[in-house]
Amino acid sequence: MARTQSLAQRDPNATRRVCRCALLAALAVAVAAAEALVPMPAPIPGMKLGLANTVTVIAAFWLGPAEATVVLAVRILLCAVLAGQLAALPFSLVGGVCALAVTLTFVHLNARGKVRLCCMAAAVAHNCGQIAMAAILTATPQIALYLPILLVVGTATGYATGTLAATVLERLPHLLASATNRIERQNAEPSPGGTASEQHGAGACAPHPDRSTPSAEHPRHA
Amino acid sequence: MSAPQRLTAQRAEIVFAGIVFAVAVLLAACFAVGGSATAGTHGERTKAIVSRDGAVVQTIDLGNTDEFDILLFEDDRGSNLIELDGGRIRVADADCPDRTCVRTGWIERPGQIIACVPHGLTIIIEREGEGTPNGPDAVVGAA
Repeated sequence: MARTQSLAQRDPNATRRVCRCALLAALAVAVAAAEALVPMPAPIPGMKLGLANTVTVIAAFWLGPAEATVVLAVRILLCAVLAGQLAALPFSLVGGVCALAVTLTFVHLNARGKVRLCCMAAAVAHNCGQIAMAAILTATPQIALYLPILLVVGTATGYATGTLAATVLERLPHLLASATNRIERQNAEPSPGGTASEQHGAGACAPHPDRSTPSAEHPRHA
Repeated sequence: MSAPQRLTAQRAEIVFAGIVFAVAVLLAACFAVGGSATAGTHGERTKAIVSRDGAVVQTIDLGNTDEFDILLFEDDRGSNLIELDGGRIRVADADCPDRTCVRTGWIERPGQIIACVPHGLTIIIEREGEGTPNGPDAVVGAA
């Protein structure tokens, strides 16, 4: 499977990708809002379950780096504005960017089997970034006292959210760049010719059902 | 994913968790060693240093154990209500999003800290007579 695809190659699926990206962004905001209602067992700044990061990781592995970045940006900005807590924006931003960098590294390495490890590393990166930001902004290096416990907690929550992300990714229709390949193979499999009625029946989410010959439209799959 | 791949992934997770745990323990040990120099015992004369964005806002003597007071620290980000009760101090109420500072509760021993990160407010307890490590510089920087 190709590791990277040019934007032009992905273009035939642009509508679907935008839809999925928007869906995940909305989901991320909702999950983050719900997560904020869950009280944490210990009063440690920056400690949280990180469920919202699951959505970013799913976006990164399912759709791609650009979509994951959009999902993260939308979530952080919308959550800060909706909660009226712009003061907390720098912390979530730095933490989120650290986690995203780690996630995108995993995606770049095509480490699809290591989604859980990716979440664990992302959680730890998030905690480190957030604590570093807190220590800098409050000019209080003593805040680093919270780092050891946050590292351990982050690994544990990362394991949990990583399990969730891996489970969800397994059940999504397809992963990464294989997107169009697999769907069209599935569509084509019942009868290799691919009649128009089958295209309508199987491809409810296809961008243009009237394109009856996908192999002609996208020669790269041939 | 094949079985060997899954095994490799699991091994990588265990290794990662082990490394992070080791780093955490090491950091905690370093802090404990560094903190023991400043850590005190009960009954020692202490002071609480309230800082905003690293600049000392107020230094409160905690030595007078009969003292009870409530102080309000406010800026455009929000407010923190600080309660002083004998030799201990806490944030009684705050309008920050996570209220971590409130839930930290009372602190009284040197080296203990309350942080209200969204408001940039920190309370650190030190022994009386100790210099404030980031005091003067930060005040000049903030002014």
